[in-house]
Amino acid sequence: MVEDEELLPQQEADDNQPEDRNQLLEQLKDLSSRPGPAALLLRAGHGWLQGTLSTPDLRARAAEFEANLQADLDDPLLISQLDRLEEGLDGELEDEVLYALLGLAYQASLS
Amino acid sequence: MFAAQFGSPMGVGFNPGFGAMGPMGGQQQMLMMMMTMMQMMQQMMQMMGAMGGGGCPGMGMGMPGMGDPFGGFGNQMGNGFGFPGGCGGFPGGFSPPGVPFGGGFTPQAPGFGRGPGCFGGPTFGGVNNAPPLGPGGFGGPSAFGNRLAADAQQIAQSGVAGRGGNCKRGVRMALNRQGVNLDGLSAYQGADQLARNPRFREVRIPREQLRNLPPGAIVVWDRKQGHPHGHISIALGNGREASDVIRNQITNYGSQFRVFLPNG
Repeated sequence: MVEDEELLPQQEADDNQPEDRNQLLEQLKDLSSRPGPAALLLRAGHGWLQGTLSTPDLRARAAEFEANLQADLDDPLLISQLDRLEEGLDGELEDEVLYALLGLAYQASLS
Repeated sequence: MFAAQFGSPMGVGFNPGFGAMGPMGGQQQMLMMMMTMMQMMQQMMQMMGAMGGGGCPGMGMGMPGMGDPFGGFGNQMGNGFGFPGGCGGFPGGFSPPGVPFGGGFTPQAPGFGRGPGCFGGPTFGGVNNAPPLGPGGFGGPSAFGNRLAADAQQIAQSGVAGRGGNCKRGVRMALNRQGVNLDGLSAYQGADQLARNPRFREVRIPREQLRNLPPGAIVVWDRKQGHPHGHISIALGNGREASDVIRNQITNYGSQFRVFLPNG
């Protein structure tokens, strides 16, 4: 068996560049176009971030998504992103909403 | 420099700073002063060793209150006098102009004053008073830890931080999303920053417990030969870790590691 550390590639120094928000929005748009349990919610979230969807509408999509989750689903990371989305909407925090949706997209694809 | 001063025969030749002395009395007086200085320095070195934490006491830290004369002390005195050291120290130290023993500042640039194979310096070692944790002592998942792990997982999955060569970038981005900054170019530099951050608490655990860490726990590995930046990762809570990629939690990096659990 190959040891994990042998798989480490050549190391680089961190350039400390911040994340590109436009790139993240593009990621979200791309993820929302893929079929999956969170696609509707992601599309709605992208619309909210672009200013084309209201907060109540996005809340409604989030509630639908949560209701459709399997009853036995117990993914704490997924739940944490739903909580984060709710908090982001409560505080009108666009970055939190964006991060929550990206996290949801990945977690939902695993579940 | 220090060794050169003390290496000269006592009382012979130039006698800076001791004023006029008779041939014999001067030698005895100088000898006593030098012995006193040696005792003081030994005490200081012992203090430095106690503060230095793991790794190489006396390495790279310089000596508070001292500059140039003792900058390379760890190197020159480390073995012969039983002082901690042997890993260098910052040759020359730093003395502001006109302050012969002043400053006490030693730049802590990565790798400064370290010999090969000597890791665990002041930017990594710190004073690890973290409590040892036994199995089940992690306290379970936390909301902050879950979010951090989810961010780290998403970032690694997206490939935005790299493809396995820049763990620091992936972890830094995930922490940024949680409002935590991680400065520096290298992964190992994160350890001391996390140790000072109230949103984390440092713990000591055996290596074999690393794959049982809760989501959001951060493991920082020190540098080693061929790995000048060390390694940093965020535990996902399932025995896996995320940095710029997702992989099984590394347990055999081969250097010192420090563990930080998310609070709240």
